[in-house]
Amino acid sequence: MRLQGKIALVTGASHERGIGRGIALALAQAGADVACSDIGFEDQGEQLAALIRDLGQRSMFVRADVSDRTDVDELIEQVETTLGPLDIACSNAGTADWEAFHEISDASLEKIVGANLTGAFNVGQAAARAMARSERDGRIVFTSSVHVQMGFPSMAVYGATKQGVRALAEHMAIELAPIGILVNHIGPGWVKSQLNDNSPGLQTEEDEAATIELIPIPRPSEAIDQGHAVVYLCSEEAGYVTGEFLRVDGGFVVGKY
Amino acid sequence: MARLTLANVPAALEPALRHVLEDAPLPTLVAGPGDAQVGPFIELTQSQWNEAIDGMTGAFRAARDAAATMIESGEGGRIVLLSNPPAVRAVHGAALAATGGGFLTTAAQVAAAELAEHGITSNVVGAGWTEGSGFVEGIPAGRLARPEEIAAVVAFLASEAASYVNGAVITVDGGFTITKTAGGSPLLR
Repeated sequence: MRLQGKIALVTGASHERGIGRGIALALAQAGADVACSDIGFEDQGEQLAALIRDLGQRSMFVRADVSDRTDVDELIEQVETTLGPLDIACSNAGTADWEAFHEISDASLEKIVGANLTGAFNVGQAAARAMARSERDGRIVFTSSVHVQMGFPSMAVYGATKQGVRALAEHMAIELAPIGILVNHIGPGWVKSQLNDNSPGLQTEEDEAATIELIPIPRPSEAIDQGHAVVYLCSEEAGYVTGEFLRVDGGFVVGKY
Repeated sequence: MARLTLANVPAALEPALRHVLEDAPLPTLVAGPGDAQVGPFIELTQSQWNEAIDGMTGAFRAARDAAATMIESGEGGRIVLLSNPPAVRAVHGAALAATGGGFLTTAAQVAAAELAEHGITSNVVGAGWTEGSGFVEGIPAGRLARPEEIAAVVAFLASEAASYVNGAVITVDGGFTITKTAGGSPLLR
């Protein structure tokens, strides 16, 4: 298998409809041992770890808040103590709100920046330091978004954090390549995840049908579609790929209508 | 609101911005991510990161508050957020600046989409390095930017002539981001 013997960590992994679960399962199907982390949904996180063990891979669930650096450092220490030196880190945890630009609350701004941007820095830097310490080649994959290439009204903070992650990933890519750490990010389109449950444009069957009309591959993304892209970025075949944005959106942002 | 609000703009740019915007036709906000620390990504400290976050979210809040006031007044307005060269093309040692520039770029573009109906435009100026920041190596123009060269583009965006320019990113960097040169980043020397 493509990732046999690799140790991976996925944040934001627990929720049963989430992108993180798709990433974790795809990595496990490819042969990696996978540690799963989330700030909540602990029952679902433990269930995911059990699913991964059923696939024949080692797994564990650790509750952690990625916006808290102490939590992240302890998370990586636990993963390395239990599973071994980290090879793959998927910084996927994120959150969103929908608010008019001029009415965005400080609480929402701080929450989204904390999870999406500071969380990416914390996980990315802690993982890079761990990989550098163990002198192992590594792969870091961020979940950014199609928001990197297209703005969405009422989601200014979310989009801004994802553009920040794009810039951060590109800097990590050029600085970490000499020590064998490759850094990329994926751009999911519409996934019917818990994050999108509050999207005002996706509340009814009619909303969903209208959204599907905008997607050249006329369906929402399954979480596992995102996982397959991450497996590629973590594979030997992607050994010359760094600083890249791999959009997995069914062609959504290529055209406007 | 005051006709002109400057938030987190580099000290080197402030006099030039005030000079060209003193007679701005509409309420105008110019905000930037602040002066981020330079250093290798793997060595950045939590306090350096937090300072960068404070800079970019401070500019975001300033834009949000300005938008609210502009909407309330019914007069419309102009929002110009500042980005930087590393937000477009990565430079060793500049992860913090780039993150802030990227953050504000999309913030400005989403604001552009939302606020147009209120007569507000929102754009981005990719401000090249001026004296005391950045470096000359690799800039096709062969020199740093003069503050008035950045300010002139901001002034255009604030003017009536730019009334149909919305969500744009205008780079004023002497061509730095369109090419790449050998020799490593002077930021880390």
